[in-house]
Amino acid sequence: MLEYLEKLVNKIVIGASAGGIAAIRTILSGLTVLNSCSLIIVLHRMKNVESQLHELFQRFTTIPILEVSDKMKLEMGKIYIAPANYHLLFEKEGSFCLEADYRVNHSRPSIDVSFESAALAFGSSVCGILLSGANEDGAHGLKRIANHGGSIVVQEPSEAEFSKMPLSGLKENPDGTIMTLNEIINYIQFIQ
Amino acid sequence: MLPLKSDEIQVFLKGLKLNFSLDFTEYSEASVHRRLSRVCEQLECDDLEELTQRLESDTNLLIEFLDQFTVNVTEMFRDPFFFQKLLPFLELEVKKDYCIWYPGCASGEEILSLAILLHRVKKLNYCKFTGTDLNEKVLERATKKWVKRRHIADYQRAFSQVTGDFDLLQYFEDDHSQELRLKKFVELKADYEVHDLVSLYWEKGPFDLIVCRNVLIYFNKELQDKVFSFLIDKLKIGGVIAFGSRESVFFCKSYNQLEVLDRDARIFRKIG
Ligand SMILES: C[S@@+](CC[C@H](N)C(=O)[O-])C[C@H]1O[C@@H](n2cnc3c(N)ncnc32)[C@H](O)[C@@H]1O
Repeated sequence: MLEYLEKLVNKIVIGASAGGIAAIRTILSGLTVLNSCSLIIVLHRMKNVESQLHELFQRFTTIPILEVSDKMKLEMGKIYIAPANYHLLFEKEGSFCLEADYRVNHSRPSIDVSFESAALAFGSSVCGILLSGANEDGAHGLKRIANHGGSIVVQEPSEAEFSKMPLSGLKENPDGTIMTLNEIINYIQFIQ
Repeated sequence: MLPLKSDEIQVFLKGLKLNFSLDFTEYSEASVHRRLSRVCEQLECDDLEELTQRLESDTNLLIEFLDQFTVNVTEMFRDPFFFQKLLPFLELEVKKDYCIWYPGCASGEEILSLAILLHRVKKLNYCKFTGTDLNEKVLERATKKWVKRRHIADYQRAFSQVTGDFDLLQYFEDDHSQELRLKKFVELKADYEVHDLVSLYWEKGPFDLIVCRNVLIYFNKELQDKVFSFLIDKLKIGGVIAFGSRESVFFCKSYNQLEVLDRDARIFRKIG
């Protein structure tokens, strides 16, 4: 764990797909504070459904959760959810940027796109976490985060409801740290 | 994704501005980075220097570059709830010579969507559309009033969310090709022309309705502010303007000239 402390992670980007809602619920329920970092959630979701995911998640934590709109500022102590139908990118000066571009890995938002952009914008202050999912989005982006000096974490595949995404994450990133949801909670609390 | 350096990107964009009068210097940096590395890959350039050289030696390449650099993704009835919210206002307000501007219309699927909805409430013959975009290649497609067959199932679903009716195909000519063309009985009067919003100038207008969705998101905050004011200037007092559902227009300087008609759908009226 010490190694992470040294890297001064203050932006955590979580990618998830099938089985992701339950996993994220577990994480949010376990978090008590989020003082010196921001948490960004990129979840594959249904197209053209005006879903109120942030309101759903808000029931499980007192930490404020916002659905991202374009050019919104990233602030410490807040949780952000990528909106449906846009790719979520990051500007160096610490704000979000949305793109209405083609799907990547059949997904918009795509986890790869957000991970890559976070790596470019924030380098070693990012931690990418890949959770349950039934496709391979995110694996490539994790690698970009690692290449730019960031930290990478993959959910213990045997614990994930759908193991394909964590497994492909590990296949492309054999050095990635494997954690259970509980360990992920502890890790997020620890980097405060 | 090809990693590019910030300062190289700036040099490249300045070159474009100087040599081709295309100004992307105030576009969002994260997005520009992603677009440029994709263009380099597609045009098989190792870096921006090579791309610059090729653009300088082959003038035809510029149109191709623009086509790939701009994000032209659009669809029919994107965000069905937006059309649901907009339609009641139009039903009440559209009268003779109602002028509609669609800046950044890409290949025009949104214009076709609105035209069909207006046709259904018998208001389309009062309307005149102008679709503009920076990318002349997509505009050429827009003039054809085509939609792609492979997307029709998605469009039907979205259409039924807006109208409760599933039969979108009644409005399209089907000659079993890849493209379906809008039928003639939907009498859509539309002009399409190349226009660059960054120029902050246009001789046309003012308009009764401006729909500019998912275009300002490509600009940085300063440019968003300028283009936003420009759009408001092109709107008649009492006219309606709409943006994409996740756009942050609330912080723009000219925002106080607007009254909110629907906050979530980003539909506003000009009051001053
Ligand atoms: C993602 S598309 C939006 C299409 C449509 N309005 C929609 O929401 O489905 C963005 C469009 O903005 C156009 N665009 C980008 N910069 C522009 C500029 N400076 N002036 C005019 N159009 C521009 C692009 O060429 C592209 O077609």
